[in-house]
Amino acid sequence: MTVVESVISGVTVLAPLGARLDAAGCGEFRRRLEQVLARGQKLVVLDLGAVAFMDSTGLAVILAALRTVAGAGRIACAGVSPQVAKLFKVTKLDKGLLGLHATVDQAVDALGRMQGAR
Amino acid sequence: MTPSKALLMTIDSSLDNVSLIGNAVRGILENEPGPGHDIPLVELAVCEAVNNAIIHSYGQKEGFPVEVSLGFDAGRLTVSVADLGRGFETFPETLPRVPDGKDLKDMPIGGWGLRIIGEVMEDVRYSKGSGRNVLVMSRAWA
Repeated sequence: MTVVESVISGVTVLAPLGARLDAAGCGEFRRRLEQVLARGQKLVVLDLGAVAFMDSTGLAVILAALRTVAGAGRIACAGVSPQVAKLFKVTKLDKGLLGLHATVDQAVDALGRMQGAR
Repeated sequence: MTPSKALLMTIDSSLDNVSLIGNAVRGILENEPGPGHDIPLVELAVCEAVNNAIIHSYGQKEGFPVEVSLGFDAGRLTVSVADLGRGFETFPETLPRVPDGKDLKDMPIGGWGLRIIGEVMEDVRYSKGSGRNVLVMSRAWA
């Protein structure tokens, strides 16, 4: 799976371009996200606009990343599909631990404001 | 008893094949009367069960069958996932619950498959015998 990395206003944006972040196909996404966090990036937006389906393996990648940045940074998602939104809802990841935004720009703005408030 | 409207699908035990089951389940449910807004969740629950069979029962080895049957009867949807691998050593009597999502420390990294299945389906049963492991999940669907 191709994962595109960019930086917008100091926030790292990772965009997996595959339609499924699942047990079969999220290895590259996990590796790239771990790399970003290992470099010390603490504000990360996951652009999930291309992801139509995510299972608990993809969820575990995000939870592991949240633990890595806990207390020192923030991870947000943008452009989640209806299926991914339902996954986050049923696992209660939509209760505040993970920022959810309609667009990448909105997610970047939200993380930028948090950085400014620190 | 076999549901009045049912089908059986079999895939080889490769994680690359799980999407075939997910797509089939979604397509079938989209064409049956029922709570359409829950279709993505049922697709997810079934994929989690198939993932479990491939990863835990077969140790992610390919070349083994995973059978998924889906049936509609008396306003209920029943999905069973069967494999011939080692199965669960012990299956919990009560499925683990999803934490409230307020504290990251309470959110486990693993074990979400059964939690998701438990949230999506109303009744989940597991049986193991004669070399065959079967997870049967059902919920209202009308």
